Amino acid sequence: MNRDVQRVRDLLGPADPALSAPVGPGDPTGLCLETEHDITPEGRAPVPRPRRAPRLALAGTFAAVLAVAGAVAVVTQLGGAPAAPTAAPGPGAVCLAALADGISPSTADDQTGRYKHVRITQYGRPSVEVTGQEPWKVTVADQWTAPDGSGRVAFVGGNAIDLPAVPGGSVSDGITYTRSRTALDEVDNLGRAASHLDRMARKAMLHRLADTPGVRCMGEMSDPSGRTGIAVTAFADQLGPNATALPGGVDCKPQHLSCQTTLIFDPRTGELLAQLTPTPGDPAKTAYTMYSDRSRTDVLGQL
Amino acid sequence: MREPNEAWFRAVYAECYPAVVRYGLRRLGASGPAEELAQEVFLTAWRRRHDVPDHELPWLYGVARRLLANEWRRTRPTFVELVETPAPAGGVDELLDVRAALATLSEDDRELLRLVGWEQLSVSEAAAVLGCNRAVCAVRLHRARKRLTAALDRAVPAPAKRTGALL
Repeated sequence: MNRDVQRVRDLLGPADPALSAPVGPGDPTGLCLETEHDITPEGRAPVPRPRRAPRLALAGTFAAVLAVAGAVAVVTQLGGAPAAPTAAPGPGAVCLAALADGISPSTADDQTGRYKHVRITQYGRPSVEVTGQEPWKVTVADQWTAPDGSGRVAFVGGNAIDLPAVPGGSVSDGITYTRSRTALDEVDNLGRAASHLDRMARKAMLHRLADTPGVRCMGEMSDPSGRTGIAVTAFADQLGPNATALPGGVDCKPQHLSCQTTLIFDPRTGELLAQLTPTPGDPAKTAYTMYSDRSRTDVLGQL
Repeated sequence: MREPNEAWFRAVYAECYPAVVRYGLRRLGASGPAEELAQEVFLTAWRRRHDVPDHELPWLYGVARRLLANEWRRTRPTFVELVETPAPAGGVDELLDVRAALATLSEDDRELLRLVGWEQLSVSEAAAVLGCNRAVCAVRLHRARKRLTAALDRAVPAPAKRTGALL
């Protein structure tokens, strides 16, 4: 054996803090192994996730599917503006790290089933980039997603669409850990990916947001349906590092589709409650996507 | 060639879990955070199961090290309460001196010395954890060991400060 190795062991061995520490046998039963994809920063091959849907593709049925899957456009307010933040504003690292370290299992975490189900409520006109003339629209849909990305989207009061499997990946756990260029992009992308995540993936996502400079904690905030959660926000970088509000008439395109995005997380489970996109200069108009009724099931929703 | 399926994972978990927990215990100072770190390590191993080599433990230590660097060190104290540690054969004073001396070294030196002295890794295995080649690691170990010895030869910490050591 290398002399240095032996000397180091002789020297340090007795001072080992774990020398007599009792450690039980390993049992992986409690680990949640359903997250099939690498979500760690050292991951070799993150699952690609389209950052933006092609705008011209937002037409007909396909547009509706994309809208539910993640595109947030300019929308009208339902039930008044979200409540103002009430507590502990500051760097996002503070509230997000605390939230990540303390999250509890959600109802869906304790369930089993092939499909992840979530109800998605959106307000807006998803094809506004096409003509700019579409009316404000309320869309409510139930989405079921299997690990291979296949599933179904059923619009409340409307039709349903079967989703094909995604080659090589899952849409539900497809958080890519390639860091986005700006805090706003990071909030947008992780918010979109967080429609239905297991506990460990939520924890990883929250830590990731906590580590993103420019993401700020807004304290407690209510989503448009009245659920109170912990809100974090990010502004477009062209508004400067100290932006706190959106001036009227500001336009952050083409770098961003929006100038500000706010995420509201359940303070107990860390689940994403809502993603808000205010309209510059018009606080009465805030785009949002809300998530609710998450569950696991083996039964695909009925057509 | 082993198939990285759930049976393989369970076997690796059962074999390596205590060692990974002890790795965390040596750096975090408490069993709860150490067990939580171990769970994160094994979740990463599961997600990257096709990348895990046949000799798993150094790879797992490498994951733990990166997790500590990226996440845990930011929020978790690395202050080890000596009251939780049984007294070694050489006496408490000797233990305190060794730890105090170790605490004076750079983080790179400390981690290499811990991997060899506490995790009982060979130079090649420690090199794999640290991402350097074996020859470089051997030289670094030699120098780190000499610095540790020199630190031990210097002044003994005041008794009033001997309540713990930053490892």
